[in-house]
Amino acid sequence: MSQEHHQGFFTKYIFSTDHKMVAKQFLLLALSMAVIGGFYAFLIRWELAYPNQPAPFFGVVTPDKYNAIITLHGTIMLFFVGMPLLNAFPSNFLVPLMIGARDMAFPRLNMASFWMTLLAAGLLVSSFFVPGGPVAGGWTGYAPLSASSEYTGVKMGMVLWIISLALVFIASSLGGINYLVTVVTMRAKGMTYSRVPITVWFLLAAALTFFLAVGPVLAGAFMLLMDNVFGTGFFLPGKGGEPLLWQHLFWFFGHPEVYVLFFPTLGFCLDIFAVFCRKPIFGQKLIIGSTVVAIALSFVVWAHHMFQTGMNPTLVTPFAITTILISVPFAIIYVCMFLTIRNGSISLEPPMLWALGFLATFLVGGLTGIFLGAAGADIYLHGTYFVVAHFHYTMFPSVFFGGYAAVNYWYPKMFGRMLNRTAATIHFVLTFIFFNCVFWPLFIVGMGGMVRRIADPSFYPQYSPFVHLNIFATISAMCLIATQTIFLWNFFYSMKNGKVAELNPYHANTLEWLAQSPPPHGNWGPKLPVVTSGPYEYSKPGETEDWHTQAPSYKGEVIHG
Amino acid sequence: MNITTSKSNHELVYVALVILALVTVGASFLHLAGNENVYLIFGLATVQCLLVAFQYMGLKLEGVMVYGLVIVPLILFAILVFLCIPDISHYPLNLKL
Amino acid sequence: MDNTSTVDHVEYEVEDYTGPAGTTAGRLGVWILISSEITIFAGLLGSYILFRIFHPEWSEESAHLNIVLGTINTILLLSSNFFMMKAASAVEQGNQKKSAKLMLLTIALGLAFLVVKGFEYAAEFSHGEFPSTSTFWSFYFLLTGLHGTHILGGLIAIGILWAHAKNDNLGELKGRVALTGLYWSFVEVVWIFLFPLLYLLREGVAK
Repeated sequence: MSQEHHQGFFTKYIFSTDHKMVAKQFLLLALSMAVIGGFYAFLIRWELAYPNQPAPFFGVVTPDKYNAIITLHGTIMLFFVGMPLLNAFPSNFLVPLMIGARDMAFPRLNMASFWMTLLAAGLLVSSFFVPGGPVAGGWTGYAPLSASSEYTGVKMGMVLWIISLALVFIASSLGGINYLVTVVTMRAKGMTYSRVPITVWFLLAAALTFFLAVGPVLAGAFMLLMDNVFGTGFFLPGKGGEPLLWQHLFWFFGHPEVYVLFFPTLGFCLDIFAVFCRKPIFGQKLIIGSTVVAIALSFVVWAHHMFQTGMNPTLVTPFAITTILISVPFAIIYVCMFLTIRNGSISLEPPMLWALGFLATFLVGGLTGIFLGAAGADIYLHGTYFVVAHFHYTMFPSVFFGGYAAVNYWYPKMFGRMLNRTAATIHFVLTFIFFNCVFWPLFIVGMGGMVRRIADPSFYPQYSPFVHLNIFATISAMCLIATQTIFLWNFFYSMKNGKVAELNPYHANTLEWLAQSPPPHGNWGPKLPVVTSGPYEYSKPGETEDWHTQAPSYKGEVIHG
Repeated sequence: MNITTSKSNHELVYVALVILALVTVGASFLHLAGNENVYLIFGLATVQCLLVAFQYMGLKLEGVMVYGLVIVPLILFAILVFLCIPDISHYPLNLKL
Repeated sequence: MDNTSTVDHVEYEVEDYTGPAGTTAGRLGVWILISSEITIFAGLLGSYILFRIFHPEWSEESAHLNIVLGTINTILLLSSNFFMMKAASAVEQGNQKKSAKLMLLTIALGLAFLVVKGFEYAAEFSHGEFPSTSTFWSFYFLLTGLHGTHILGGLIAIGILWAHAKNDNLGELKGRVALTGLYWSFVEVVWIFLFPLLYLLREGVAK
């Protein structure tokens, strides 16, 4: 099969079926939406610290606007930043390269996946400008508030939100089909399942978990749409409906979804630890087994989000038990990560800094989840800022620490240049400090009883002791957001002006480092790499080098063009 | 391996499916005691489904991965329904008591 | 933004892409799609079942459904599925024109299904039975509506394949006939459960 196509501008950059270009498109989408999501975070913190004062670049954040903003912040950060940045971008870029394939199994489906996601993002952004304003039901869209426009005054915005989510869910499922079929059918010769890098395994685990979990929420979305548009009563008690059914359907998906966002980061960190500590991963089989158990358990923990909803109390204890149980496989994985680093020759390059930062911050998130999973403590903590702090200590590390780790680590392969190391290090240190300064105080105000999703804390005299903490968190948030400009500058500036990268700057074993930087269309030269070893042969006793590429016979012929 | 050409028993399966469908409709007119009717109807439906799955969809020729892809969602369906029954289906009735 | 190079006249090694048990990549892809679709209908049917358990009075509303038309639709869809299977066999045997005729039958029967459904909807509307009338009717219209859109999508796919096959022009699309047949059988399976759940749980068949 000969590969002779000269690609025009549109085929190469816009309507590309090349998995690497699709990956970069998803990355750009994620970064753009992160700017919007970050702006909303700024507005939220502004209103909480300086209630009813006009926010810069926006004006006064009135309560109904606040509701819309928190909804959009959550929706955008999870589905238009988190999923593209952690699932779509890395799976698209890495999976074919790491297994020695030329592209995805279904390249045109891949392209469709991106354009569907872009359309969904467009629909969501367009909802800012429709009569009635954008969706304001919380990113969880609890019924009956979300089921009828008589409660929020929002009709078209809600409909657009539901359709936008349905589209992004379908697009992600289609992407998942691609990744799974590619890994099952297109591995290079010698690339047995046990030689596939753990990043690919975790990306697959995420894709699998996603498409198995998304069905019920899509079903619920159709029902919610009908409630809003056709006046049905699926979730409206006045019409014979059941609001809690929405919550069950939503969280049945919602809980596995947070693991969909967590698994890829675990994969990146494990691979990064192996490379930057020059050690094999500790307990690889144990990690994979724990992941399988965690996925299975993740489907039976969902109602821990519903302990205080008035659901049947008989359900509380079983779900509390499963929730506490699920911390076990994750604890095992965590210990394996620590043991991977132990006694390694650690080099603190930016990817390693992000991975270490993830380990530290996610630990806080994971441990605080135990308090919330214990149903008794949850009676007090539910709906407070303790929950907000908990999920930001899990989601922010997963999405941003993990995302930055991946971008920093694979940037040389993606663009053929190195990121400026000083800027990247400063970006990490400042982000780490400011992130903790924003969210640690929220644990304190949460335990003090301050509830979430209220626009004006000054309205409640019992929250007056928290004014200083809220202001501190807000100022830190503004600094955190400002710090991200360092990354944006570094990312775009280094594309053309960074130091030219060698083929394998970190001396990593995995296959993608054998390809050119960036890999050409078709990834490899005329001959595909032949794999003869696993990906974690670092510091093997008796060898001269402390690394051993998976396909030593691959010559990497330069392709003319 | 060609799933569609392996001994074409499509006609036999078709006749069986039509008969089963008509029997299922007929069964709904029998007024059996209590829940037996439901079990009979859905038992017949399950048989039809298995016929289509194994014969038309070629499930009998597929490997573990495809079996897993079919069975796991069914398990998830069971989990969703059974764990929600105490809350959605029976809770309102309990309240009345 | 990047320097992807282009290639002239170089022969590239391509793997023979097969999956487990000889399943092709395409077939595995359709099975994963089906797996995902099972979860969607599981959510919907599961919700219906949860409501149905504590709404025994729905058996009276269910009696308003036209069981004759429902049975006719069941037979139509079964037959459509049968002809699609024969069409896929015909392609394997190399006879594209025969397969085109069989696909045309498949489409005709599928369209007939939709027409009958349309008649049912029209009759229901004229009796004042709309989605907003009661939760039973909400579920009925949503379930059959979603199933109907899946049928429509399938018909479009089969139509595209028919257009190629009737001119002996399937080419690389040959394998897609069997794959579309797989999807079509799945749509059939959904109806196998949908029909009793909606039409047959009448009078005295309550939990």
